[in-house]
Amino acid sequence: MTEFFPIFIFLIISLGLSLILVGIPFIVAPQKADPEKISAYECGFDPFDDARGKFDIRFYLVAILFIIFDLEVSFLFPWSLVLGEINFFGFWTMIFFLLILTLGFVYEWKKGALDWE
Amino acid sequence: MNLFLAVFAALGISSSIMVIRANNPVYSVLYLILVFVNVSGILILQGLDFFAMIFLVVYVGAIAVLFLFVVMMLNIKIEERQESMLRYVPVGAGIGLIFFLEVIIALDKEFVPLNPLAFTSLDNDSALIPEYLHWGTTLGQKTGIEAIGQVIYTYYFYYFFMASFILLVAMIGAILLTLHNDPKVKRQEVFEQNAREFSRTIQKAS
Amino acid sequence: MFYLFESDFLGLIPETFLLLGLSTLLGYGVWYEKGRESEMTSHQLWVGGLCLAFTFILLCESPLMNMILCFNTLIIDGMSAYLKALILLSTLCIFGLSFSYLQQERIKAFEYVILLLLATLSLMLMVSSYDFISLYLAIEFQSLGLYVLAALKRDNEYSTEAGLKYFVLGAFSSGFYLFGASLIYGLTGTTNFEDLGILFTGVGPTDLFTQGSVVVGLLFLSVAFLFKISAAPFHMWSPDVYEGAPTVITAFFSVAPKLALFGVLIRVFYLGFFDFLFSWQQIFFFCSLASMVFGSFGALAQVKIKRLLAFSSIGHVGYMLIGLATGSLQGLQGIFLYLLIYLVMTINAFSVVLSLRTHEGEPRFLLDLKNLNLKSPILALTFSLTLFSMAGIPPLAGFLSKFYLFFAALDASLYSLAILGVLSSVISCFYYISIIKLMYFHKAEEVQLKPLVGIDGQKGFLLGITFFGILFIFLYPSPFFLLSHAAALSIS
Repeated sequence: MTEFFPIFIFLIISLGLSLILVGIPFIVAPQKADPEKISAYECGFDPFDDARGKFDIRFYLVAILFIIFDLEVSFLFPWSLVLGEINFFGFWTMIFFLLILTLGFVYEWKKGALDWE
Repeated sequence: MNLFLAVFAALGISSSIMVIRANNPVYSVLYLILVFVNVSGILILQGLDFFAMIFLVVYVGAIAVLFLFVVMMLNIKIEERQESMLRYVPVGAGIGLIFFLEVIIALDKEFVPLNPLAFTSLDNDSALIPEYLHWGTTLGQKTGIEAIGQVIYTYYFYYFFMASFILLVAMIGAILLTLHNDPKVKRQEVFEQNAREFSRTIQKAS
Repeated sequence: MFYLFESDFLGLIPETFLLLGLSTLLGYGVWYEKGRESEMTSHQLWVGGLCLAFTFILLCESPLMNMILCFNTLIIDGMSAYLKALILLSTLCIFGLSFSYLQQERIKAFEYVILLLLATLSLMLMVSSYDFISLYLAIEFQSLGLYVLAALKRDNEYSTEAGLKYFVLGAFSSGFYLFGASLIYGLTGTTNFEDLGILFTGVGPTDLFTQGSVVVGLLFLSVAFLFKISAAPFHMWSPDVYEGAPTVITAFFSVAPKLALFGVLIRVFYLGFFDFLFSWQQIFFFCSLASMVFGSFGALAQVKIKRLLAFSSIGHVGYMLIGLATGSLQGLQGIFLYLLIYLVMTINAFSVVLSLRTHEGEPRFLLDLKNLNLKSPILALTFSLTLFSMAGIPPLAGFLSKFYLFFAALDASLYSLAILGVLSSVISCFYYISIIKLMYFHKAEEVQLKPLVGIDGQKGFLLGITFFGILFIFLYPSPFFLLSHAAALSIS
């Protein structure tokens, strides 16, 4: 447990630093908000519509596929540590797991799921 | 150590309340990330370091990112949420109270006292608190990640295989539901282009 | 290490074959899909059906009768063999129904077949599971495939709504399940059903304080399962999901998950928690009453065909829960018999609904059944006899199954369940007969009746087989009695 203490120090320092960086402008900088100053600029006109464009669904698909392969990698982590102790059976179970996911990978590749226009 | 647990738990619970109470949905997702980070801290305190890392990598790094994508895709404007939350307070509080009572009933109970003889002294008729032998500390130490690894790939390989099937279904399902191949887009078939033979591409036509 | 699991792979041969078959189909489908989408689905359906038939043969001819596999996580016994056979049969029937449906709805995704096969695999593994964790993994596996299938028609709002509602409710009930299972694990230290059964031996109504916490966990578990089989009062999601999903997928929903989940319920409550009988009997008693009442009264107000079928399936689940609440061997046999006959009746009903397609599209409202007698008299006769069977009129198959269940309930002194079962059968008769009136005795208007698009061979075959099953099971029910009795005995 004590080996995580440096991480905690890191957390405290990063938290403190970000709070300082965000908080000091609130204190130091002059803030006189004015309707003209904070409104959106659209070449002098009032804004027609929300500034956001339509969000493409391909991002979602990329994120889902990332999750799936991320989980595959997270299963690889303990396996790589104990490979010496689980002998051949453990090796072959992992190979089977990777084969099933390779099947999914082939499916995804042929469908062109990650092709971006 | 108790201080850490108290801080993480308090931050976790308040963040989870803020997840449902925040106006902006992007703020909700950011508070959800804070919940995950606090839970990850609690897991480290419990000695489950592997799970803490997995929480951060998978939950925050993948799932919260996915949530953000979906929230940005839905583009919920803040002014659209007009309904008041107060309508749900009676029923919600009632159900929450029932849940809470059920957890209290089940809390700190053991169905099987491990060793009836290893009780502490029976003075002043206090409830019998069994004393356990912590087997884990009597043997050689193994890290959590190694303990998981030794078991999940050998004895409980069935769970491991089921996880792979679930991931396969998720892949097929996600692609089936969201992939939209626009027929107007011209794509290249690299292998066909490379396999073209010059002698067959141009033919005399007369 | 392999020596430890050598025979386990022998016991899992049907599932392994199904997995290899569907992987081959997936690879074949995705590789050769370009330019051949329209034929690809029918190719996949034929080969997938063949795969299922071989799995069925492997299951029936398996030399291993009773076995605990994979380090106490899976079990093979008579009940699992029976339910797996029924699941495979139901998926075969769904494939038979899909040939013309996919063509008419212009669904070109061959992954439909792959997902159905994966769902079947997961249902088979669910029935065999012997541990809370393996059960959870199988439930999630199945649910994930079915969420996608419910939302298969991407441009149809009903279908998207069905998928979304099914997903939210399914994930919610899985959350309840995990909570209950983790409470049980926290109290006892084990997740294996057999170990729990041995641990709780002779607990009985003593020491209510410690027992109460187990009952809390049991309550959450039963609520989760009741959500998934759409028993009242947790049935809210099923009419919307059944209505929105593509009709063939609705047929699959009505039949296959219920088969597997009843197997799961029997395993969890009869094997793991039998000593808490007096606690969970009350839960299932109440839910059975509510399901029968809601199923019959709810269907009275429906105007759409698929919602009506959803409410009638809620009623059927209510009857089956009677058998579960009895706690006796007869109740188990009643459930297995009822599941078989329910399979036959539901496949018939959905085949009829799928055959009612006109050139404009498929029928949504009950009024589309108008004057079916003039359009296709044999179809009207089939549907009316199926509806009579669902109502429980002798000498049709539905009567046999209800008869058995009510006798089991009376033997277990659950008198009010039996009485209410009969009463709700009477009420459900009302709306079944009103459909028959629509088909036969409606005033024919001067407007031309829209002719039906023809029924293809596979659907006709299914219609015929199930129709004759409904008619003639009552005359020779002994093979089904023997099968269900053998299945029930394996639990004791």
